[in-house]
Formats: sequence, C-alpha cells, structure tokens
Amino acid sequence: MSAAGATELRRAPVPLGTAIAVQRRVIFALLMREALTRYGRHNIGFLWLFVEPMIFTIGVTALWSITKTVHGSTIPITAFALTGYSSVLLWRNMPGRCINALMPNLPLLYHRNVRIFDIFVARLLLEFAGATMSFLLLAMLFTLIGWTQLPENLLEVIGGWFILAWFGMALALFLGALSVRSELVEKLWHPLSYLTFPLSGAAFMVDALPRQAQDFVLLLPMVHGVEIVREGYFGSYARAHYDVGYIVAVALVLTFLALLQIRAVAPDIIVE
Amino acid sequence: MIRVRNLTKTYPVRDGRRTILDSISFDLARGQKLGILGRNGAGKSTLIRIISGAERPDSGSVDRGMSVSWPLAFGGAFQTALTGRDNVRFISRIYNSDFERNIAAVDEFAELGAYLHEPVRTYSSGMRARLAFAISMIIEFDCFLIDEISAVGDARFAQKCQLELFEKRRDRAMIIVSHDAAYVRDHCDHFAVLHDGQMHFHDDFEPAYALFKDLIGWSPPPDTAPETAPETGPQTASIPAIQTTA
Amino acid sequence: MIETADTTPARARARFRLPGPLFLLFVALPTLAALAYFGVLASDVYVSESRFIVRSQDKATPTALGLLLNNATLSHGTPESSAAQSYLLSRDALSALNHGNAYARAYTRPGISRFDRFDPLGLAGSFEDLYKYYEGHVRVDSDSTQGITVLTVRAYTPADAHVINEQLLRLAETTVNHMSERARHDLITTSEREVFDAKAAARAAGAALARFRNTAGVIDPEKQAPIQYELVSKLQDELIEARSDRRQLMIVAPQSAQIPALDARIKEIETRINEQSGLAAGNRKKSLAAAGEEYQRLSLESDFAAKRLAASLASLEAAENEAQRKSSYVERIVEPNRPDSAIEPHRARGILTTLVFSLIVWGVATMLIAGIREHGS
Repeated sequence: MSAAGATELRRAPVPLGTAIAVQRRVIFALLMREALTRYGRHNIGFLWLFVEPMIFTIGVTALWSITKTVHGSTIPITAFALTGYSSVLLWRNMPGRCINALMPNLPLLYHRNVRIFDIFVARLLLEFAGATMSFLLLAMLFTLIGWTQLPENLLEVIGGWFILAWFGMALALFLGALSVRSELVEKLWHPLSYLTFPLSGAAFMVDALPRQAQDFVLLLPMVHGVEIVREGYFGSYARAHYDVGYIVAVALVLTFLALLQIRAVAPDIIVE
Repeated sequence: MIRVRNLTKTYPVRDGRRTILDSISFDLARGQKLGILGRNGAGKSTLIRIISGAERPDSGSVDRGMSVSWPLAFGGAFQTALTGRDNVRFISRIYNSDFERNIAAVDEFAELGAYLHEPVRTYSSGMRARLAFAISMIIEFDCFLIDEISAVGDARFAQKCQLELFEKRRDRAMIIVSHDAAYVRDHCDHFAVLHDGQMHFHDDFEPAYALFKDLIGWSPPPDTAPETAPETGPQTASIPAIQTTA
Repeated sequence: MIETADTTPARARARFRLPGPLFLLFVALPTLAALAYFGVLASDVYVSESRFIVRSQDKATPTALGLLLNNATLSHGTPESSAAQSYLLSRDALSALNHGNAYARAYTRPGISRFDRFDPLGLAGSFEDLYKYYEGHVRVDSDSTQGITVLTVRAYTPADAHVINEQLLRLAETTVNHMSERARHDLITTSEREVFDAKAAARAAGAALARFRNTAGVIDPEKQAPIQYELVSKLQDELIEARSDRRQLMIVAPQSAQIPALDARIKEIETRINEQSGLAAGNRKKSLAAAGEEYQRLSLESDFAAKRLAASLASLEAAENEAQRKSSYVERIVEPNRPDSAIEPHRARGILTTLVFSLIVWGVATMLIAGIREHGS
C-alpha cells in the first residue's frame, strides 16, 4: 500500500453473458422490491398493478359512452376508449414513474451492481406489465360481453403496443435522468402530460380530423403508435394514418439522448 | 488488490467547486487493514463511497481486484415499508445468494424474532442497526468498508459484531474510516490521515496519530467552533489512554 | 473492473470507443451499403407532377369538428375529389394504365437498377405485386383548404413519368365525368318519365270530354239547367193566366165559343211544362241532371291531368337545376410536366441520413452494452 505510479491494471472484462445475467437478476430484484413497496401485501396486493389502470380505463370508457363523445369513426365507443386510453396509460405513466425516481433510491447505489439504469428499467417494466395486463384483460372482458371484437391483426396490435412502450420508456428514461438535474422537469411534465392527452390520439381517429389538423397532430409520435394499435385492432374499418419510421426514429433518438443523459448525471450523483 | 489512482472529487458549493479529494493514490492488498483518520468533513465518507462504487470520482480510477462490500452497517438501503425479511430477500437477489440460508442467519444474529416479519418502519433504531449489521454479514466480501461503526446496539450486540467482523473475518481486507483513533488503532495495521484532500500514509499508528493530533490542534478551540467540538472532545480525552497502551 | 469517470468530452469519447465489431455492424456496414446504393446502384428517378381541382357547385361537407367549431373551411373536400383521389390509387386505375402490360414494361426497362425495378428476380410478377409497386411510385396529395389535388408520378425516364401522369389525369377526368353524368341521368330520367306520363294523361282526359260533348249534345249542363227552369216558369205563368181567363169566361159567358179554345191552350201548355221539366231533371235518361254527373267526372279528370302535368314540369325543371348544381368536372391547374433532369433519389441526403442514424444506433448499442458490463459478478 503506497502512493504508487499510474500503472494501469488491465483485467479482462466480465463476460457479457455473465453481466447480462447479473443485470437481469438485479432488475428483477428491484422490480419485486418496487412492486412490494408500491402495492404491499394488503387486500389484493400485486393485483393492483393492473387493477388500477383497469379502473381508469373502465371509468373513461363509461364516461365517453355516456357522453357519446364524438370521435369521428364508426368504431363502437367502448372499443375506441379501450384502445385509446390503454395506450395513453402505457406511454404517459412511464415518465411519471421515472421522474424523481432516483432520489429516494440513491442508497441502493451502494450495491455496486445496482446502476441508475436498472432502477429506472425496473420501474418501467412494472409499468409496462401493468398497462399490458390491464389492456389484455379488458379486451378479453369486453369481447366476452360482446362490446368489442377480437383484434383483426393481433400481431400488428402487439407491434404497435411495443413501439409505443419503447417510445414511453425512452421518454421516461430521458426525463427521469434529466429530473436529477432540475426539478423543473417534474413541474413541467405534469401540465405537459395533461395537455398532450387530448392531442395524443386517444380521443380521436386521425382520419376524422381535417387535413391541416392531421399534419399537426401527426407530429406527435405517440399518435402514430395509437393509430397502429387501432389499425391492428379494428382492421380496415379504421383508416389509420401513421409512419412507423417516424415514431421509431423519434424513439431511437430519445433512447440515445436518455442513455447519454444517464451517463452524464452519474458523476453528479451524491449519495447521502 | 484494490488500486486507487489519482482519485479526485469535487463538490459544487455556492461559489464554485470545493475539492474534497485531490489526486489520491494507494493500493490495498488482500488482508491489509487500512485505518483512515480525519476530521469531520475531511472527505473520509466520500472516499468510502467512491471506493464502494456508489459515487463516481471526477477523475482517477478505482480498480477493484477483489470483491468490496457496501459501507458496513449502512442501513439507508432499507425500504422501510418492507419487512426485514423482504429486505433480506432483496439483498439475496442482488447478490445471488441463498435466501433461506440468509434469512436463517439474520434471524439468529439480529435476534429480531417476530419483528422480522414486520415493516422496518416499526423498528427501533437499535433494531434497525442490528438488522443492518446482520444483513451486511450475510454476503461474503474480500474487503469490508467500515464507516464509523462503533454505535451498533447494546454492549452485548457490539461484542457479537466484534466477533463476527474482526475474529471470524480476520483474513479480509478492510478500510476503516473514523475519527475515533482508538478504534482505528485496535483494528488496523496500516494508517493514513486525510486532510485537505491529501492522504498521509504511515505504517505505524504513532506517527499517524501524531499528525492527526497536529491537524486537530490547528483547528480553532472547541468552544469557539461548535462544529468541531463533538469530535475533538472525546478524542483528546482518550489520548493519554492510548499513549499508555502503545 | 476499471472505472474511469470523466466529464471532459475527449475522455468520454475515448471511453465509448469500443473496438471493432459493434462499429462495423452498426455504422460501417449500413453506411457502406448506403454509399453503394445511393452512390452507384440507385437509378435516377424522374418526377412528373400535375395539379387539378374537381369543380362542383356543391358545398363541401363540413366535418364534425368543423361543425363544432362552426368553421366550414375544416372540410374533407368534396366527395367527388375524394373519389377521384381514391380512384387514382386503385387497382382499377392501374389495370387501365397497364393496358397491354405497358405500365409493367415501363418499370422493367433494362436501364433500371435491379434494386429499383419492378420484379427484379422474376419471382413476384403478379398483379398484386405490381399494385404494391405502383403504390410506391404514385402519390396523391390533397391540399384540403383549396381542394387542389397534387398527382406525382415517379418513373425512370422523363417520358414515362410524363406519359403515366397524363394518362392518370385523363383517367381521373373520365371517372369524374362519368360520375357526374350518371348523377345527372339518375336525377333527370325519373322527372322526364313523369312529365311524359302526365302529358299522355292530360291528352286522354281532354279527348274524353270532347267526345262526351259531341254525343250528349250539351256543352255545359250546369250552365244549361237555369235556362230550362226559366222556360218552365214562363210556361207556368202562361198556364196560370190561361186558367184564370177560362174561369172568368165561365162566369160571364158559360157558353162562349172561346172556352174550348182556351182548354186546348191549357192542355198544350201543360204538355209543354211536363216536357221541359222532364228535360231538366226527370225520369228520362236524357235529362240534364243525368248528363251533369258524367260531365262532372270527365271535367274533373281533365283538371287533374292538367295539374299533374304542371307539377311534373316544375319538378323536371328543379331536377335539371339540381343536376346542374351536382355536375362536377376535373379542371387542370398544372399540366403534367416532362422533367428534364432527375431530382431523386436524394443521394447525399440518403447517405447522410443513414450515417446519422447508424451512429445513433451504434451509440445506443454501445451505451447499453457498457451499461450491462458495469454489472460485475
């Protein structure tokens, strides 16, 4: 032990397979911890994970059905609300879960295999699982009652759902990392998420809008995702307008920025 | 072997950045026990956090050739809404360790009884400390990081900790950070004083302690500088005792 | 595990520079492919554009949102222009265009690169494949505020682009004209047939009335009846006068020779009265009342037929107006141009886009893997 010279000790890095296994284990541990913390073991416990979004979706479906909201297509309002609101829950709750997620969890970083990215990803996976199960169960329930049909192209629904989830995760990671830097992120995200809701494609079909409005609304990436989901679900009688390339490009760039941001904040983090 | 090279860390303060660690380098071989003395706020805990990997240095590197623990007896990672058992399960998952064996060990060592199945927020501070120490002992490391550990529970439990850490794991490397000179002296074989971002290394306790006293001596008297009062008080009191035993 | 953290960009970049394979896979390979494709392989694309508007006097249908905002300009455009647009992108249009396989030939010229031509390997030559290919080379955009439709055709020679655009435009014109003609036809034929029927009915009713007048010898029983009654009352006056004369004579000179003459006169008057009142409304068939019944029926029928004719003429006129209003036609604003140089593909842009996006993908992959590698065992 001495103040020795700077002879760098090069060690073969951990094999990628091992590292992946470790990361998977860590994320799973964080996920279980998060789920247990959030829902506890009381009453229905874990089930809240998807019961909560289900209640939201059912509520909105009921509201829209009662008020007979104009949505500009021949799709039954229940099916319309189901696809629309589930999609909103998917991408909008993710940033909410990640913003300011780090501060209360900083001591976890004492366990060296727990990285900032893992803390975010565990929450995102939980959110994804909840929104997906809610959508799945409600779709099955509504189909049994006869309010909706089964999706015409299940693969397309899944594809759209995953793209939307990717977009939501990238956005969440980016905002989550950014929120370490500035509390403005949290302050601005709340109004922003409410303002984007009516524009997000949940409450209308793009086809029902006039041309100028379509061009404007299609600037929002999530609209493309919702349209893909709807086209897959309702098939030909919902004329969808979307550009897969656009939402993928946006999600990709967001992912890139998010990962950069996570790397950038790492040195600034002070564990109490 | 742990290699620390040119470690520099600054924190942002109101007028610019304050340098806490200024280009620190050292090696720690297996089984070596390094005691680091320093005043409050000298950067001891920062150093521990950087070595543990919880924080990133501004520059420089920490090369861990052996497994390094999280700062011992550290209880901050408890999710207080979860039970002690859930926290043990979490740690077991993170470190890929056998949960059944671990929960048995924690149950025996921490003596929490039925409280193990209650949320940690219902624990007393002593119980939390016991749980934290017990959890720290279930994962085996080559090197333990110990940050001001002295106050863990009652005397009997302190003794158990002593046995568990310094007797059963006497072959492990340790980095002990403290302003309690006696504690460092009793458990370490290498010493360093951290002051103004610099580490002063000594193979023997006496010169290190002399330097430490020197540095403390330069600080304002206890009655005019209240923030240094708590640490200088007990230490100056323990100086004669140390000198007689040394 | 080596941890180096540094905020300076140079150090950070050095840290991300993972050796070869990732960079090769995510950046070098796609960029080289883009260089090869855009630099060498891609064929020049000639773009011909035309603009037209579907004129119609009908108002555009406002959307629900437009109604809500009370804003008529928020519309989908006229149904005719939508019809023209959807026709242009239909299999119908393609099969008309591909008459004698002309369209497929234009896109399989030997000069076109294998990566751009239709059915390069001879494996996918069905009509559906051609349709898919067609959709990638024809664009129909509409500018809804003005209702202008922009038709863009991409081909690999200037002449092809021009000819195909011209043909499509003509097809669109034919479609719109056909629709317009059909609508006009539908609207007017019913009205015309109605007018024709009404005319025939009116004619028949008039003829029947004339025939009745001839055979019954009356022009208008209503008007003739009062004359009859006046005659009878005159005769009755005369009868009363004759009777009172006879009574006076019987008192003054019962044996007068005038009495038989008066009797004969009274008898004559009575006969005449009987005759005339029977003619007006009597038991005999030829009475005026009997003729009036038939006359009434015929004249009513004739009236009705005349009114029906007038109504149907009016509705024919309205239909003609409606048809006029509904008629629509394609008006060319910009004739299809014949491009003199290729403006696509955007070679530099294509290469640059590929490079930028592959760098981003590589960045993401690198950071993800570096993140995974931070997990020691």
